[in-house]
Amino acid sequence: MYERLDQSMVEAVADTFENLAFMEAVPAASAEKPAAISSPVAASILILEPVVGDISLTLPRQLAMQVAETIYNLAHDEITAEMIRDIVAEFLNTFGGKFLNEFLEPGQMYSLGTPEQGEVASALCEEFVRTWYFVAEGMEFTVTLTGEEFGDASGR
Amino acid sequence: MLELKRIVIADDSFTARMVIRRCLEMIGLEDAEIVEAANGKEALTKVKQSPTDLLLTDLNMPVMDGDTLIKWVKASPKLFALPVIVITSAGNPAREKSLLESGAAVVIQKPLSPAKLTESLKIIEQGGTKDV
Repeated sequence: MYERLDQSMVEAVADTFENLAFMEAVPAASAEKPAAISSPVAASILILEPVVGDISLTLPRQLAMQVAETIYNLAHDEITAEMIRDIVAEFLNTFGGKFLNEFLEPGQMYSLGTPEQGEVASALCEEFVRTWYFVAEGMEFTVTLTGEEFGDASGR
Repeated sequence: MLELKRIVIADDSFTARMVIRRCLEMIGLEDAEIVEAANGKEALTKVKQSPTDLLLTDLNMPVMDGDTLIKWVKASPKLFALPVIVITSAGNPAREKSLLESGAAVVIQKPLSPAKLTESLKIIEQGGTKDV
């Protein structure tokens, strides 16, 4: 039922990791829910149009550090907490837009808010929540989408 | 290819600025002077400071957004001819059309890649406008 939704999100995340960090991000193979991410860094972004919802990204700090080292070409101890926050926000902003671009009808208008730090405890929607588990550089990370109209749209 | 000696990048995310800088270097522009600005106002100051050959800008920025930056650039007799590339995650055909009408040469959907940048520079060289 959620094939198009899944495909759009997987493509958006993979394309973003490939272009921004030269990393391969693929869906986690295990059908079981992976263990909780250790030392997570997270951000969320509101979807403002054409439907209301939000997308969140939660990465292990170690993966965020590797991405930062690649993008900034800096040593591990030169990466600051601000750089990590900025990377998570920029990745989320980029694949969030690409996901909507892929998922919605061609030419349909969409709008995102500004990325915010921290894990999402969405107050907007509790009826449709979908989480994708990915692996990059051998580390698992998650992407979560909420917004009840996504559930409806996926079934059309 | 266009001769680009000085390029200004406007984005409030330094990650995005680094990605743009890296793409410019990957397409052979490593010798260009690349100047970074964290918002539209800062970018406007920098393009006025010294002759600039290309402006790459985000839309959503504090202090002055990308739309306003383009309007200021295109309203200036000295800066009018400066090619502007918008790099955005926003998907709004009406807004993209309006950006092109207000003077942006190309609108690129994130994520930016060297291929998209090369295509955009070709469009500018040929004097056209487009969404990439």
